[in-house]
Amino acid sequence: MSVTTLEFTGRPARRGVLRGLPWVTWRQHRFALGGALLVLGGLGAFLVINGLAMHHAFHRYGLATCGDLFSGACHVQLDLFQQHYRGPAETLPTFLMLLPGLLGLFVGAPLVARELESGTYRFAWTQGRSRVRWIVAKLVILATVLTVLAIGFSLLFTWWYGPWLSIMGRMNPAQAYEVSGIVFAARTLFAFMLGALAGTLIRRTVPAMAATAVLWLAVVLLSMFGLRPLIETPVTHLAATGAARTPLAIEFSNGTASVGTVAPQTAWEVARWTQDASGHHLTSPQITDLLKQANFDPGLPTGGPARAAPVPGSGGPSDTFPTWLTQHGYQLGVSYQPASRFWHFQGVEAAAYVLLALLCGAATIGWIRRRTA
Amino acid sequence: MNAIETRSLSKRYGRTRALDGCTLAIPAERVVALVGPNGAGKTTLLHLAVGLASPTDGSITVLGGALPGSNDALQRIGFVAQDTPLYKNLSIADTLRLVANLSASWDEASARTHLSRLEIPLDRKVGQLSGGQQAQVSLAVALGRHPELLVLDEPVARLDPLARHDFMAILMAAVAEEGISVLFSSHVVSELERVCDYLVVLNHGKVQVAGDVEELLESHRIFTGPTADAAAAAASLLVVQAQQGDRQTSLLARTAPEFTPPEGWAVGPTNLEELVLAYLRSGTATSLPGPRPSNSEMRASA
Repeated sequence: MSVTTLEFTGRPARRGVLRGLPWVTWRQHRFALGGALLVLGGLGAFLVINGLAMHHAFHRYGLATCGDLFSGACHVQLDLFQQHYRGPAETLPTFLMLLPGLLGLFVGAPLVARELESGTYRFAWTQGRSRVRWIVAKLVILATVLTVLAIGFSLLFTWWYGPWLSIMGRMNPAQAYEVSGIVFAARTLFAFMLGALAGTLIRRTVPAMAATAVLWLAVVLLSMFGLRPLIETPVTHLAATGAARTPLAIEFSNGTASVGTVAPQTAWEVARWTQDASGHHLTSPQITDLLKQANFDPGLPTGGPARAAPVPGSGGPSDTFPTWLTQHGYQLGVSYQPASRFWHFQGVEAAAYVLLALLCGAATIGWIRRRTA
Repeated sequence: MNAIETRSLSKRYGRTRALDGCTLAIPAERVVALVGPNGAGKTTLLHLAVGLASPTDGSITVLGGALPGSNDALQRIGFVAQDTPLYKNLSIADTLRLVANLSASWDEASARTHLSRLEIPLDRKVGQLSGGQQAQVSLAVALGRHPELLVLDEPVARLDPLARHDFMAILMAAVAEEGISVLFSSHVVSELERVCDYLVVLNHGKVQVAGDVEELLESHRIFTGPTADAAAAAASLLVVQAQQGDRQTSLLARTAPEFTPPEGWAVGPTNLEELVLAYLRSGTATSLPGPRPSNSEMRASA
């Protein structure tokens, strides 16, 4: 047996930069924070590598200098660029938007639950510092670190996504909107605090993690589809009757047809419809009837969702049927959230998440202060 | 000064009454044993004393009026919880650093002196230590904070006899050197006399016995006599417990020292283990300081 212990006697402990509860927090959660950094760093590295190639291609194709991206001058280059890079730009954000939930799950949920589960809270809360100070220090420090990490990742993502800002914008739900701006960081903060509260109430790590995942996802879906459309009334646009060169759209999906005009490329298109002279929106069967009446075959693209590209003057139903409609007194409408509203939406939604996070944090502190063992 | 004072202290968990109207005044600078069967409410009482739980009813103060859980109380009380919950993934050195950063006052040298006697490498993870070593580390950590009151919940329950002996030896040395008050719970009643000088017996959430060990032993006697006379003898005594044989009966009873036994009865001393067991078996008998309980509460249970 080693007796090296004697040599240590009386020597003052090593002192680093951190003292007190910040050191305790660092020591106990460095693996969780390291894991978070590793995941964000790994994905960040992919964004950097992929982003450099994508930005390079954007310049090489001359898209940075050819003017209006949707004009004829850029058409071929844009198609080429989209063919190569659109996939990740559309799908990757949908996966990345889940990161805040994961961070909250792995850092937040075990924070108190593990102490309660293993009984170590009896040690941690009886060493001379009140448990309220203990939990406040841990919540504040970890929340700050996670939020800063999330903001950093958001900024990197924003750089990566840069070329697409003017091509497809960042207003669509479940896409770039969720990872850029401040919503991503606010959601990380909320997930962490929610995890801490779930762990405090449930007192077991794994169930607390599961509860955090389910609740966080529920709140995110609710804010995406429930809250966000309410932030501002969508802009409504009706194509002028008989206008020949209006961008038109016709969509067939699972046997239902909708016809309308299209929103700006960078906007979040909320709805598209055809209305009659008195302003009534046409239903899918009514449109199908009209298609028969105008001698267009509605049966062609069925099954999966198919969207005909709004290419003016290329012939086919996407051009001529809407023209036929406008000639017969119908109007083509679209409602959308324009790209200019991005920061307003982000601000409102992030504020809601920060508020929820503060409520969860306060509930955690209150619960630990009042009742525990 | 009292180390712990409670008044009608009650704690309920849901419908379970863990503590039921406990009134206690445990003096300071004593080594106090809190004994009772499992589920008697010992841990609850200790958790209330260190601020890990709060009372449902009644009040509790520590070290002359401080509220458990307050900063003042937290800094003056050291606590070693049941099964000595340290962070298993930390080394001993990191555990010391953790406490240094967690506590307001910390004497690293003292803790390391205590640990050096154990000859355990400081870089070993707590999870790799034996139960006895973990208990020793917990004690060293608690003593390193120089508490006025040290509260230990079943500190030796899981230790083998040798480790138990070593643990109590270090504890007693610290008590002798620093004059700290100690309150420890135990469901092991043997060897109590050697280590404690004040006794609290808790049963079913109620205080059954509370008193100075010497006084308790002074005031309790075992009377042995013929079973035929047992009822008559018991009537003149505060019998805690009667053990009835065919011919002979022995009564453990509470009595004044100068009390003369009934004719034909021998009187002898008792020991703490017998005394505690007698009270726990009787279930209802009490021996508390202050106003004596009425005679009717003191009845023999055969």
